[in-house]
Order: sequence, then C-alpha cells, then structure tokens
Amino acid sequence: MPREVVVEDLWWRYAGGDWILKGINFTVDEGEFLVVVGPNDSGKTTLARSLNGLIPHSVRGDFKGRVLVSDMDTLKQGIGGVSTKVGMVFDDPEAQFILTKVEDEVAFGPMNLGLSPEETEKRIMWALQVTRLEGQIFKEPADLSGGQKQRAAISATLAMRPEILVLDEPTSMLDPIGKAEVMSVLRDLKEKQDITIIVFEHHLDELVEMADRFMLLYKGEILREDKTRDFFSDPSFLYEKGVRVPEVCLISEKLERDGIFDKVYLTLSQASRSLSKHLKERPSIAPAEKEAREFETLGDEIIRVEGLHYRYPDGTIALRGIDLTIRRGEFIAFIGQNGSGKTTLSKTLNGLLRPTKGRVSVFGMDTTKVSTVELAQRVGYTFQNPDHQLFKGSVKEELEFGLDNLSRIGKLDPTEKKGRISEAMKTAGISEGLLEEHPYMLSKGLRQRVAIASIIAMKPDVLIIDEPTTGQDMSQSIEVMRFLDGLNKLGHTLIVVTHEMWVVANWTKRTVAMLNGEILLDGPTREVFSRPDELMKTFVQPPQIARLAQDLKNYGYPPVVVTVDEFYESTKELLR
Amino acid sequence: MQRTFLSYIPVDSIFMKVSASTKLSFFFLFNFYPFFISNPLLNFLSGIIAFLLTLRARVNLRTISKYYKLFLTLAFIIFVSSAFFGESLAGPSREVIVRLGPINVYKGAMAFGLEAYSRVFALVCGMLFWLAITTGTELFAALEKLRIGYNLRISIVMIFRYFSVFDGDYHVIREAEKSRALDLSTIPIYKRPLHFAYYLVPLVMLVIKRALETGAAMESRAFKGTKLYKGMISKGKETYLTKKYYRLERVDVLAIISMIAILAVILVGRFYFGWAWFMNPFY
Repeated sequence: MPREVVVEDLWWRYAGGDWILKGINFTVDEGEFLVVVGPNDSGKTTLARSLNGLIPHSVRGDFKGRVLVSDMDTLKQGIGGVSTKVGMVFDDPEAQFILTKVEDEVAFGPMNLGLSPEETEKRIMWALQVTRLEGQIFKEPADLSGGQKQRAAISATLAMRPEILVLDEPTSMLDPIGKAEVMSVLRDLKEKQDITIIVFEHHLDELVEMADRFMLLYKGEILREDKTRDFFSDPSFLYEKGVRVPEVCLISEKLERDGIFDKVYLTLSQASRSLSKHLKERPSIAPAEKEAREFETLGDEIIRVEGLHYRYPDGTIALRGIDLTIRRGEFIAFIGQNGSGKTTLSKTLNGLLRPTKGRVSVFGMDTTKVSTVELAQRVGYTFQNPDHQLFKGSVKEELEFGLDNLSRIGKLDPTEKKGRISEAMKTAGISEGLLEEHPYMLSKGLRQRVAIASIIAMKPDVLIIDEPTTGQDMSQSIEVMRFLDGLNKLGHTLIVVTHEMWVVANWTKRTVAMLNGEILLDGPTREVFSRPDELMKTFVQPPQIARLAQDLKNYGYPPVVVTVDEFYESTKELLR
Repeated sequence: MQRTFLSYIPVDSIFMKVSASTKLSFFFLFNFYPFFISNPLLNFLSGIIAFLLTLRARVNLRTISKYYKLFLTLAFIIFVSSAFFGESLAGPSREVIVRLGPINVYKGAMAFGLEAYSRVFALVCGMLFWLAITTGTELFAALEKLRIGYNLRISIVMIFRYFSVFDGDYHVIREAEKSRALDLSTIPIYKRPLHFAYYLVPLVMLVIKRALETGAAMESRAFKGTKLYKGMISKGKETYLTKKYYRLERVDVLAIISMIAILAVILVGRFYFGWAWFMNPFY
C-alpha cells in the first residue's frame, strides 16, 4: 500500500519551552484509519498540527525531522498547499466557523482554492451529503446542535477534497448524541469514501470497531503502535498510561486472566456472545443493597423545587414544571442531552436564574427573595469552562477573590481568610508552589481545580459543578472525581452536570435524567441505569458495562450493574 | 428566520432582497452622516429613520434591545456630564440658562451636550440597523467585490461575527462573578468601574484563545487564498459568494446611487457652502 503519511524523527518544541515531540516515527498507509491516544499533554494536538503544516508555519518553535503527506514535505510547502492534501477538524466546533451559514461555511475552503462557483457548489452538495447535513444547508451554525456543528466542520473540510483527514478530539465538547453523530460520519467515511483518516481521541468505544490501527503517544514519544486487536491485548497497561480503555476491554482482561475468556474482546457483542457460552439461563441474582443503605443515612432536606418553570428572554422555554428535593450529603448527577435543561435547573438553585413560575427554596430561603450573593455563600457553582471564572493575576489572588467579596459585605471576618485558603488548597491538591503562578499559565485540569478551590474556600454547603471532566484525560478525570468524592465524604452536597456516564456510574449516588425541560427519571443511579429504554429517550446510554449486563440479564446478571468491578463480582458469583 | 450579526430577520423581509453592496452603503451612510452633521435635530431624525427601517425589516427587537439601552445610557451620561458640568464648553458668551444650586447650566454646554448625544443616537441606531440586517457572508462578498484586501476583509467579518459570542462570554463571566459573591448591580454606581478589570482578564484570555483556534481553522482551509483565487479576484471574476450575494438589481443601483448622492450633498453642503441647517442651531 502506498504510504500517505510519513513522519521521520520528528522533534518539536514551542519557543522557549521543552521538547513536546521527541523523535516521532510512524507511517500511515493510503486509506488507513489510525487512532492516536494518550493522556493530555502527551503531544497529541501538537502532532496533529504537524500533519497539516500549522506546525511549523503558524507557530514559533524548533522543528526537526520531516513530515511528508502524499509526498509533499510540510516544511517546504505552505499551509495553503498542504491544505489541499490534509484536511483538519478541531475540537471546538464553535471556533471553526468563519461565515454565518452552513452552505457558505462549506464553500469557504473551495473558494479559497480558486474553484469556480459551479465546482464549489458541486463540492458543497457532495460534502453535505457525506455528513448527512443536506437538510441543514441554509441553517446558521449557531442554530445547530453540537454534533451538527461538528459535522458541518467536517463537511467544510471535506469540501476541499483532502486525501487525508485529521481530526483532533472531534467529540470532546459534544454531548452523547453529538458524539454518536460524528462517529457515524467517520464510519461512513471509512466504508464509503477513499480517504485516509487519523483521529486523535479519548473516547474509544466506537473507534475500536472502526480503526485499523492505534498508536499510544506518551510524553512526546510513541509508546505503542499496533493493529487494533493487538493494541488492546494489555488494557491495564493502557489504562495506567491514561487511556480511556473501553470497559468491555477491561472486563475481558480480568476474565481472560481467570481463564474464562481466551482473549480481550473489543466490543459489547463479542464479549456478550463469548460470556453467554459459559453461563446458563437463570433468574437475576439480587442487586446490591449498598445504595439503599446510603440513602438511609442522608440528612435533612436543604433544597426544594416546586413547579419550576423557566423561560429565557428570547422566549425559549427551558424548564417545564420541575419538582425536586435535595437532601444534605447527596451526590447527584444531572444528565440529558444539550438543551434538556440541566444547566438551567442548576443555575436556578443558586439564584443565577430566577423562576418564571414556581418556587425554589434553598435552606428555607425563597430564591426570588434573596440576593445571588447571599445564595452564593450556601450554593457554590463552577462553570464548564474554567476560563470564564478566573479573574486575577495569581492563584493566591484567585483563591482570595470570593473571600474578599464576602469580607466587603461583612459576611466574613478577614482573619479567617488565610485558614480557609489553606484548607481549600489542601482539599483541592494545589501546592504552595503554584500560589504565585498566573492561573492562565496552568493546564486546563489545574485551572479547573483552582476554580473549584476558590469556591470551596467560600465554604458553601452545596457545590454544583458543570462538566467537571470535559477536556480531561482518564487520569485527570479520575483525580477530579476522587477529589469531589472526598468533598462529599466531608459532608458537602454535590451536584454534577455531566455527559460522562462512567463518571455517573462510578461516583454519583443519585441521577436525575432530563428531557425537554422535564425530569424523566430520578432515583438511585443504579436504578436509573437499569431502565435503558426510558433512558434512551434522553439520548443517553448507560455505561458500556451496564449495557453488557443488561444484554446478559437472562443469564442472571442483576439489572443494576454499573461498574467493571461489580460486573466482575457478579460474573464470579454466576460461574460458581 | 435569517440570522444576522446581531439578530434575526424573517426570510421574507424586504431587506433580505437587498444586495450585500446596498447594505454596505447603508453602513457608510448611517455611520458617516453623524460625523458631518452637528445639527441635533437632523441627527435625531437620522437615528429615528434608522430605527424605523429596523422595524420595517421586522428585526427581532428582543435580541437587540439591550444594545439600545446600553449605548444610549452611555450617551446620556455624556450628555449630562457635558451639559451640567462642562463649564469649558460654555463658549465665549457664557450665557447661563438656569442655576441649579451651585451648578450653572450654560447654553453653550447644553448645546454641545445635545449635539454629542444626538450624534451617538444616530450612530447607535444606524449601526444597530446595519448589524441587524447584514450577515457575515454578505459583508464578506461585498468587501470582496470592492477588492478590499483578504486579510482586512476577513478581519472585519470576524469582528462582527464574534460580537455575539463575546456578548455571551460577558454574561457567563457576570454569572461567575455572582457565584463568587460579587454582584455589580448591588454596588454603588460610582464604585463599579473599580471592578471592571475583573471582566477584562477572562474576556481577553477567551478572545485570544478563540482567535488562535479560529486562525488555525482558517489556515487549514487555505485562508489568504491560493494564487488561483487571487487571480480570480484581480480579474473581476465571480466567486461562489459574490455570485450568490452580490446580485445588483435595479433597485440596488438606485439605492446605492441615492445614498452616494446624499453623502455627497452633505459633504459639499457642509464644507463648501457651509449650509447653516447642518450646524447646531442651539449655540
């Protein structure tokens, strides 16, 4: 097979920095589908941008080695020239739109290539057909869902007819529906179009079924590179290196070690088929009572929502008659697709939004009669993007910010500040050495922790965190969730708004699933995940391991298995 | 509905039928006019006409009402400060209209304040009208036809394209401040400027990040154009966007000629003939 991409001894460092890429060597054949995985800061984005010439042409730094794409040397060719061979899709669908209509956006690239209006129009229609966006052709990008926006970005790139398509974390900012849409497009591209695909991603559940090869990038070096099946032969190793290994692979490894499986399976259907050969049909074994016991130990009611409606100034009805009670010490997940009302609901709990109709009372206070500042002391809120909530020039000042505001209005004795900051730093794992650093010089994960710590310093009883794991790799996500779990054990009531079902399954005790501004399901997490048909209405799927258990429910698996360890324990019991 | 820079207009709005170049000439007329006219009455009239055209276009006013409030409030502050506290604007006559305690309200200062406010009023109404009826692609096509340089063209479009995104960021930042017990609406107005810096840090950082990301996306799509594209423009050939958005009907030609004529009359009348009714009669 002719080689489409050849990377030879590639080294790169940004101006004034350390080497990010350290002697990278790999090739990609024509028509191949390669997935590059690795923790954050491993160099994935840097490598992606080296493939289309952004590095070294748009960024200052030191470049060594060679990158050839379709025999074109990216160092000698300008980005415009390379863009005729390599198309690139970025992680933020919003930041990739230049013009204000899908059709025009897709036309932008071909137009820059100097194509005639007629040829441009043909390419637009073809690209939109490939991504199944013909129906959205006249829509504005701002009126599209996240998945549609990303598909539009893929169309805009495909319209340039590149031979190689590079996608840098294309699903990281999307909800489950959006992720599924993008994966579906990639599947179609692989099967029906003659194009080489290189995807840099954390979410691998669907990619294991599509990709020909995987590559692990770790601290700027290629640690492993193999065909898909062989790459996942040692899931624990990959997991330790921060790869978000599909749960099916993790459980397969455990069962392979026990001699039940003969290999590590990559897909749910493979694992299900193999396991069913070892089991007999029988009724379900009793589910764990752990969650029921935990519910019994919860405290008094602290938040009550009654008949809550909310309508935005532009007329959008976001909440339709929500009734909800939250007790002290709970750890709750709000789930649902984008636009379901999760974030709107969470913002009514700390007074950022006031009910259009209905009532929200927080610690007995009606939120319409109390100021947001007053509520901020009881209910802390951190936003999805930490960059929206960092105001000062150093971490120390950032941690002091909220406390200074409380002191100014007489709600905090200034002598308490130092102690609170020290406590918040310890809880959030922020070292003294970071205190004088500018928050924006920190990694995204650390910025998120600084933002959370600055809220914790205010000692709210309730903490609402919007998407705590977005943009984080596996290790960082686990670290953040363990930290939040620690807060919950210290007595904080936590609400997380999230799209990550494995986070919900492993840490939260109660799940509220929303659809079109209403609560569809509300109960212990396991109970919610045991109702997949209803959950599907919210376009949310239970974690992969839960789906495997449900697939095997006729063989005795309890309906409430949601983690790999639970599945493993259930399997051992069933095989006894 | 068709989304524009700042709002939405129905697809059957009369201004959807107007070409990109006609819309661009609206911009020049409504935004240059107040610089040459110092008569507050004419400026107020210009602003009212722009507002009436906004209504005629059936713009979704709910999405832009906040901009009217914001900019006209700022303009009112300018009026008050110059009219009531602008002793240096009193003029040689120093005629006092009224005394408010220790404050002398001078006729000259009041006239100046009124003039300043009327110019801002006209500018704001004109600008909001243009932003409410124009899309980014139309502006791009119009500038392309005028052979404005590619970098400048795309920069202008991006400024307007990201205005509403910037606005969205500002609102989230405000919410984040409230979550940290800082609500500017509860702070005395004279103390608020001290806290404005807290907006700037995250806004600037977000703008820089977005600029880098969008720049990377544009470069990946042959931004700046290939030689073939540049050749097309220099030879006056149609590109996909100019073919689609730059259709000049008879009404467009008439509209553009009329607006050029109005601007020409203003310039000649103001600077050559010195027509009095372009000047401020309240001095």
